[in-house]
Amino acid sequence: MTIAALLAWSVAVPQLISAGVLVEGQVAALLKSFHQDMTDAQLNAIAAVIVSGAIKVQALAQADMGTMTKAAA
Amino acid sequence: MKKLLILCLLTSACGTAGVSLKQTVTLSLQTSETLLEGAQTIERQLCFNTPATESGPTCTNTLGIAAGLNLMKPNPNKASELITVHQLIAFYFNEAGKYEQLAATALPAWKAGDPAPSSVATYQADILAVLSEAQQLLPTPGVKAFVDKAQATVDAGAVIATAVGVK
Repeated sequence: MTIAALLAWSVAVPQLISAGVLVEGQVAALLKSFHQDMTDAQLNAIAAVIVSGAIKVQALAQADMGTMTKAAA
Repeated sequence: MKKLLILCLLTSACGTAGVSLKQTVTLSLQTSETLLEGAQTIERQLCFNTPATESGPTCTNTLGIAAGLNLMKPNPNKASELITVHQLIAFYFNEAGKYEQLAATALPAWKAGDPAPSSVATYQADILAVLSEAQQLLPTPGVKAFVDKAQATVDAGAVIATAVGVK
């Protein structure tokens, strides 16, 4: 949750509760949806994105390294 | 109860308590990876007139040359071999990319209480080396952006290192 969204919520939620639009249970459910644990599949998908980005970094870096000795002599 | 829920919203304390540590470290690694790519992009923009098509050990951009990217330093793998500062930074980017991949594979399987994956400490050392070289450049335009991005990469990496208990 971003700071901006958090601030928006901090203003909106008390008003919605006062107006009877939201009840406590609904607020708790909303909070849970924002902060739910990701599944292993979701974490693995993020890991795949990280690996993909890191491979891109390596490809550019290796092109710039040229013929320098790359491993400890 | 109502006040407690609103307090949670205001402080976001609920968020940090509700999310698993391995989720936090995986997301921090993703942040660090994005920042690492950003730092490399800035460094290559400093180095090359047309970074999309140029590559290699020698910089062509006068800003990067004035900053010191073409100065020579010993190769950390072979001290008798001199390489450009740009090559040296590229070497640390390459190493960071390598250990970041290993960390990305290890962290989703990591659990609180497990030993810290060794790749996390090595990744942190490599991005610190990028930051150290960035900080030694002369302050020409663009260098500050490079230093700031490298520092942010290190900061995100430090979150991971601390979370997994790197000593």
